[in-house]
Amino acid sequence: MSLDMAALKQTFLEESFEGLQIMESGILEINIETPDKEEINTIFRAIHSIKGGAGTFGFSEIVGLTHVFENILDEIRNQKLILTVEINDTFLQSIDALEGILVSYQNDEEPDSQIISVVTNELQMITSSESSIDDQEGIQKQSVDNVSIIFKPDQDILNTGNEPIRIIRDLHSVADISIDIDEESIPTIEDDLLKIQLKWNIAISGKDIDLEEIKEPFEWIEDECEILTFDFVEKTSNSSTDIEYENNKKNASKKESKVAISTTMRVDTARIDELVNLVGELVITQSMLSQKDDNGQIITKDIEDALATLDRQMRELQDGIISVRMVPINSAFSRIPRIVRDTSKNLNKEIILNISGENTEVDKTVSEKITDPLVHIIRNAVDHGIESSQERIDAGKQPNGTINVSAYHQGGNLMIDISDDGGGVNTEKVYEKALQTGVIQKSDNLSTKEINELIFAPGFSTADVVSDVSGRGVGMDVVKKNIISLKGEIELFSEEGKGSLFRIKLPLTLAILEGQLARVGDQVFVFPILSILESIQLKEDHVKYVQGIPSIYKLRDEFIPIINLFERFKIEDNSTNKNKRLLVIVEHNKKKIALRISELLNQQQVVIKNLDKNYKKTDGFSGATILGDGKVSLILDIASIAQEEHGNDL
Amino acid sequence: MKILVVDDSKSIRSLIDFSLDEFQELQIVEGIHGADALNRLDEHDFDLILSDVNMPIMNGIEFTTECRKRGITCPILILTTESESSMKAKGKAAGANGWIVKPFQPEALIKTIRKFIDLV
Repeated sequence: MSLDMAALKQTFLEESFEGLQIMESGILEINIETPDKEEINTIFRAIHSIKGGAGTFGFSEIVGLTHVFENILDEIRNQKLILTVEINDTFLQSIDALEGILVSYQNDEEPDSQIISVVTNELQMITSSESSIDDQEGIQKQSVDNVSIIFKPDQDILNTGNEPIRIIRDLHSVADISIDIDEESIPTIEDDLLKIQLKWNIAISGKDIDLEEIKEPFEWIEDECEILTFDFVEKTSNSSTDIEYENNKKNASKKESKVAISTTMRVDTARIDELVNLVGELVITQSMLSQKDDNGQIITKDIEDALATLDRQMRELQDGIISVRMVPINSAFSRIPRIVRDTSKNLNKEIILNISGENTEVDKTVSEKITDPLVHIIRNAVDHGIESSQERIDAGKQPNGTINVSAYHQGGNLMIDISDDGGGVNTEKVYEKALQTGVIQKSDNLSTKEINELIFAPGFSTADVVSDVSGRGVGMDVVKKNIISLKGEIELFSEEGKGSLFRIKLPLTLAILEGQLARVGDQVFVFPILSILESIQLKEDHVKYVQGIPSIYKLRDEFIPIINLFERFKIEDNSTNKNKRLLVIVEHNKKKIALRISELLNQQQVVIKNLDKNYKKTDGFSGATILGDGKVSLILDIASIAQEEHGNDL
Repeated sequence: MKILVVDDSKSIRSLIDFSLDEFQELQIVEGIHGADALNRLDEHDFDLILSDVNMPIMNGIEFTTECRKRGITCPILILTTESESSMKAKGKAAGANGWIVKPFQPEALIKTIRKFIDLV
């Protein structure tokens, strides 16, 4: 297969995944008693496109399934069939199955033919009428001997996109014809030549001529012409085939399928146009800068202006490029309604889900990687957060619980809040469990919030019974780890009896960092600005020594461990003025550390270059960047430095 | 020679584009639904129009009717599946001149188009 065809298939698969998503959200939102016709049309169009494409691109295995699916929707649309909760369930199951099959196609694997036949059969049972896929085969075939045709098109036939000569040619391609023009119909020079008056006599001789084939060229112009006299002897044969569906009832769609992550994305053309514009402006600025006078000297007069313009344009270009990677968080949210629906149904709970801010934009990678943690938190909220209706009534609450999910931008970050009005975290139980498992010591002085957040500690689960729903071996620690790997944070606010709020804070992009440059000896490092709390002049009398080494700094009423970056990175400290040393107070996971440096330089946005790929993974650094003077500067990984100091006790 | 291809599915549009790639003198203009395609009609003169039926905003039947209303006289072929045989009659009534049955193979597409225009 040529490369192009493979690319086309990929486009089709991506389109189909989108289509399935449209179908799923359509089915979840539809009002079962009074389905809106336009909603059904939207779902119909999606499955219709998948069906059409599947046949065209050679994914023939799913054509039958999609066909039955489409038929049912058509019947519902024409009110021949009434939508029920059960039908909706089967629809969702079929969508899961289709997704799994498409994923196999994408991975070049054989699709599971059993699932296909099971789901097709399930769908088949919904519809009252027989599948019409075999309609075409059921048509009676007529064979004739010797046909004669008189063909007289309407005079305006040329205005309708039809041309008689092509129809005759088409007929000629299927049968051996002899043709005569009726001479009386030939127009004179005075006639309007665009109005056809011609009349042809066509004779086809032979045995066993397929009448359908003969009729076909005229099929589309029946109304615009007169076709007369069919002389034939009729013979008939019937070639109807029944398609049998395998009877193999089993719950097939439950099979876990791999998640398909697309590596291509769609970008609004307006955004690309903006970039093209900017590049155009850059070219102008460049030519401004390289202007020379008659002696070949660069004209310095306008250089300041040009540099200022260049600076602005570069920033706009940077923002523009980042915005190309931005997608609405929508795609990460799209799985939530389904999860809530399925999970709550499993647990017999009634839950109202509100989602807001789904158009908030974020980097594509962040959006893709946040989906799993989100799903986990949502499952947890439904399973452990929201109480059963009875418990809720006893507690004087509405019988149905509410889960709110909202996304918004705040201070250059994407925030996602997931709140529920359930029972909240049982602080006491968490505390006891944490003591038991040795996560904390009795001597640790922890606030309620700190105790609650212990649920993010590795191996921590307070659920009395490991339920089918969230007890999947993945705990909240993994959620937290995933979020941290995206350079994000998660906080938990909870009030017993009233509910919980998980607040996730994520960077808008992973490629650019707001950096604070700092000098340590002769080296320049980049600190992520987000983790810096303050910087202070080191005062000798606030330093506590442990075994002769300055280890703790007393800042106001707090004692903060000191990490001497000179020692940590084995940099020689040959500055003469020991008083001029600075401490940068950074925070990670609510714990502070003081990093000793020589001095702070300027702040700037830096582009993160991966160290693992270009060199090797190095503790203490999250990456590198190239500074204005061309030198490489390492970016401090505050998380790993803090962990060295505080240990891994999150 | 110019062809207008109207389909909401990018993969189908690309497939048609790909199938007709060998015809050097053929220019293909795309429309993502009927309403979008109507705008293309103002910008170009087409020798042939291929249009899907099931599309959001304006479907292929409405689009065909509108084309004929605007005095477009080039052949219009609708793209449908076998199961939509009722669309054939509707398409015909709207002023279409033929149909291409989905799924189609590139060769079949070329063959059908050849009935209406001369591909070189």
